[in-house]
Amino acid sequence: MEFALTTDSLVKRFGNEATGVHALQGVSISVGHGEIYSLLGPNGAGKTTFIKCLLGIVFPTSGSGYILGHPLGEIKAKEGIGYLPENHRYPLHLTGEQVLSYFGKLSGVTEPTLSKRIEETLDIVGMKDWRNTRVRKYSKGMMQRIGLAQALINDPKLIILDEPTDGVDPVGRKEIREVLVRLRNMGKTVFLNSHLLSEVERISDRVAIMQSGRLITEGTVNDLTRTKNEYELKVSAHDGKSLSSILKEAVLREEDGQSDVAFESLQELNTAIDSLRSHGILIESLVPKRTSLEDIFIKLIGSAEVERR
Amino acid sequence: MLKFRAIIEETFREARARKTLVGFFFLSCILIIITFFVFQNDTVLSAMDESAEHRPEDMAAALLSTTVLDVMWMAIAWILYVFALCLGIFASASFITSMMEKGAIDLLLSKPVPRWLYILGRYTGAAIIMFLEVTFFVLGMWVVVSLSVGRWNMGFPMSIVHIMLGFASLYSVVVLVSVLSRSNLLAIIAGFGIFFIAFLLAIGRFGSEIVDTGEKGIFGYITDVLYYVFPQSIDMGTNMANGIIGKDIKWTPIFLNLGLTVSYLTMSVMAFKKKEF
Repeated sequence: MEFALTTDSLVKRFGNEATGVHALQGVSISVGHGEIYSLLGPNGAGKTTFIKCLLGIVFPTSGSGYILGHPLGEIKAKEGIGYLPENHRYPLHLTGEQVLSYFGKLSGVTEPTLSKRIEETLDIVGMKDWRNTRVRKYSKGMMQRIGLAQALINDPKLIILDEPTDGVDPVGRKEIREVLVRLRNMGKTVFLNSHLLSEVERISDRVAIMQSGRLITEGTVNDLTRTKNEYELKVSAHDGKSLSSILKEAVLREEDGQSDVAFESLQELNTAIDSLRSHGILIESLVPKRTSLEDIFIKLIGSAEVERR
Repeated sequence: MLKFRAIIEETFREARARKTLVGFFFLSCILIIITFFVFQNDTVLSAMDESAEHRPEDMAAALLSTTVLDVMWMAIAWILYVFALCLGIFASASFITSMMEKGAIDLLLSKPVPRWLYILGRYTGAAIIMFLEVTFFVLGMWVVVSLSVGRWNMGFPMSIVHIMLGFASLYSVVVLVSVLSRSNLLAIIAGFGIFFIAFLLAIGRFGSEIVDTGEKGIFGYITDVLYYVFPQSIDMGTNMANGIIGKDIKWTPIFLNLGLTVSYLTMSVMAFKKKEF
């Protein structure tokens, strides 16, 4: 399978080996075309350094990687990328439209495509009415929107966003989420770096969690949030025995006909279902139990921290 | 070419936003107006008129074998030279450091633009701005003085070339210091410092030529090394003065200056290419 982005054992050390900071310690990631991939991690985990390595803003100490089939840092690799950095700063004397024109030209977009793309991207981020206002007058949210438009100006195949919803109000966040999903549906690859876990959970296809320069887990949101062998069981009202008396230790929690149950195997699960039916209890739903990404994140970061100490 | 032009255009917009263009233009206008009024003074005009073709017995002028009018043209040119170079360095030092500010540089480096193009684009933008300002300043001064004294020095407009050569080499040092330090203040200090050192070196070399003891000594060698390492800002000015009075200009400092400009810019590009942000 060809990937939009791959890295192999990417290491970045600032300073010398003994006393320097090991910002990345062998990060290997593969992001397929057309997926939204999110990188999570606490402050100082190395997420931004990783992105900077991808873009050639800092140089990896060792390891390798490819973006859209070109080695990291190469001009060719950057041609297909749109990037929105964290705490970006546009020349304050420029208007929104001039920002898009300037960065569009730097991305190699020529007229008449440039004018067309400016119209399209301003429309996508809802900034058409502010196109002739200098960016010094923009709010934080408007800055993010024009930043997103800037990242899309060259119609990139891979969009790298570092905290794209930072400072954006809930309505704006929802709009940005919708834009990202729309981009994925158009076949674009989105690499997202965000600390807003609930947002990441809603739109990401795959998620990686980084701690102290290492990936501590990676997988689809479904895989990560599914609690192994635990299910939420809902049964209809009944006069008979309680679930605990039928399913014994398998019941972890029972409350108003809704229970959390755990089984070692599928065989055990099906036996339990048969048993409930034989007691005349009707099953309304049985779904794998999920925890939130936030719970998983805190749990993993906590364990990694303990392991590190 | 599209990307190179975009960087130059942005340098112009930045200069306009920082009031660099207007500021330089405004100061140039003030100096031109002051000069105009000075030359409306009867005493000044009669002095020029009487001694225009007279070779004075004054020591300095005699040394140069020039007329009072020539000395006047040279004095104006030197004032323009020092003024334009100092103001040019002050106004354009920020073009490199502003580009490297946190939040701005990440975005620029993420674009498919080779790093050297940013340095060259900014440098070229600053040089074009400086050329326009200097052209206005020199030609404005030339017209005002020439109309006042009734004589046109055809060598005076060539000062534009010499000022630009002086600026090109001095600004290349400013660019290098900007890239290495990312400090606007340090870059300006370096620019002025080099200009001052060039002045001292010129005095030192001039002194050693007059008092030729036959032996160079350690000071002489140090002066020589520094002379070939730093831009020959003063020699550019001397060439300008020679051009005004119709004397031959020296080509060695011009080629040396161009060589140093290319060397400093190459070092800037190499440092910028290796820099992490």
